[in-house]
Amino acid sequence: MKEELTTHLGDRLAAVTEACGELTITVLPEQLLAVARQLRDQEALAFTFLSDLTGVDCAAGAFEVVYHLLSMKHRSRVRIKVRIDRGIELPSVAGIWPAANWYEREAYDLLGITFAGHPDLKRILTPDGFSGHPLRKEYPLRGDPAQGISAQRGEVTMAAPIAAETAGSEHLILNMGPQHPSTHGVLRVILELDGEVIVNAEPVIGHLHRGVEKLAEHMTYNQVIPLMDRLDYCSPLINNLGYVLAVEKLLGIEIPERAAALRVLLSELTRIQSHLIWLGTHALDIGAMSPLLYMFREREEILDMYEEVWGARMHLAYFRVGGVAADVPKSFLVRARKFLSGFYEKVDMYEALLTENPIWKRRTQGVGIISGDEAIALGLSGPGLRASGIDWDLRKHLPYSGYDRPWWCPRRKSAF
Amino acid sequence: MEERGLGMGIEEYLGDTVLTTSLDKVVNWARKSSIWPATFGLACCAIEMMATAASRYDIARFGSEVFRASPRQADLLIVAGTVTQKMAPIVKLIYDQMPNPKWVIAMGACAASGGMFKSYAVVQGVDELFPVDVYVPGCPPRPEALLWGIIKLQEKIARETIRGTTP
Repeated sequence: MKEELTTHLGDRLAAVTEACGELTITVLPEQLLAVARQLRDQEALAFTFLSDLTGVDCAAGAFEVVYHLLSMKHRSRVRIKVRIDRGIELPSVAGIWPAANWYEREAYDLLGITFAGHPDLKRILTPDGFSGHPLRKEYPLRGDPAQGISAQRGEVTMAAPIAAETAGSEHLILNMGPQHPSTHGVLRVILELDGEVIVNAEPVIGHLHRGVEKLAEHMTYNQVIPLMDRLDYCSPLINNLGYVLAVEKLLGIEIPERAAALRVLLSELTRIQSHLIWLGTHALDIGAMSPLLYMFREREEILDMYEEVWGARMHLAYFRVGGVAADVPKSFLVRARKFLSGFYEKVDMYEALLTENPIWKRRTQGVGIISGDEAIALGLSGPGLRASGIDWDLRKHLPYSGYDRPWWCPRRKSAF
Repeated sequence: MEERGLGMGIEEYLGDTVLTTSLDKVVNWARKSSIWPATFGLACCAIEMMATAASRYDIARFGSEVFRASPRQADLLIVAGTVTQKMAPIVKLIYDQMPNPKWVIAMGACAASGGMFKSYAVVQGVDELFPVDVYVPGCPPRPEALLWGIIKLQEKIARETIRGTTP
């Protein structure tokens, strides 16, 4: 990919560097939009997917804005770095990758970087009325005492921001959440209704913004691991994995083969229990109570295995930089095998409860369809992306950790 | 009732056909046996709260299985998870909407003290917003621990009196 980048973008790039097996290109602010467009549109590059966009406070009055791009076509990644002085605007890339819309709002909120041409540049994670930018190095970890609690906290606003453009129409603006029977996480959605049909929805997020990045800045690498468990508490170990992989890459650490295997095994068990929470609560939300009770029964079996491995039910912090905290007891492997061989029957039961259930079908089919192109443009990943018809699974297409080993392959029931 | 020393003497004349007790006792008995929590989760602890309500732990054994989506029908607020500064006014609003008598369990380290999140974004304990009856430690607490909290709350309710309470 390095050659392609220099061939197609050569004169526009300030530098191309490779570190830890990752490609980084540095561009000047005025070249950003042209480079971005070319990266996305040039056939030989095809970086259609913006994985992440973030800012770094480099001190000395400068910011670095970092764009992480993925080319599904060529199965490769690249990172763009742009360095700007404080107070200098950067052009928004939301027109090129719509996923940038929220990311740029985040960089604006936490660092105070402004993006010219952004469709609606406003705070996203901190409360309304918040002042200051917490990820700037000079911002105090425990908050700005001068600001006072009430300003940091904001207040409950029931007015709907999208109302302005619809003023005069007969549409109803409805506030949904954060306290609502179907919001298991803390999400607020402002809905615009035409009768009973939702014509527009504006999500309001940040109700669980805990300042983890700022906290992590004040910790050593190992101390950060427990914070990672709590990011996505439905699948704690998988978050551990992402973090320790990054640290290992930076330090150039190879982990033992057995640790790699244990990580894959525990991650996949975690994935099952995370999906069980999703499916159970989703069914509950649209009117089916009993699947939840069955799925939590199976989830408990996985949590029992967690306890056997490292003593906790949810937040294990079991994956460590360099491997795992300790070997698993033999009884765990017996138990895992037994659980997995029995799980196929359970899936058959879930199918019997839901798949052909007419109420389930009526409430899910044809609702909230996201096309493949939209999914890529908006940066959707995982099962959501695959549900939009895109065959993309990092474990298969850009394998990492243990997923690149020959012993990793999905098994059929007969294998157990 | 007789052996508990609560009889009023009427039983001697009317036999087993009546029970007498104090009004406090009978009201508290009703209140503590059907504590309805508000359906409201904030973070990791909410998942363990769901596990407490689900198959293995079955919160119905303690009369608290009726989670109400409307705070106006609930008498227990289980603060299950991290209360951020952005969420704080909403949590307070839910508490204010609940009718008296009402009780609060602070579930887990975050609700009790901000837990491991000593940052600009997190309220350092939900008791900054309203009074808490029972603190359940853990990160997150196991379902058994939440059930312990509910039992503790039941014990506390059993000691209350209806005299002098404002409606």
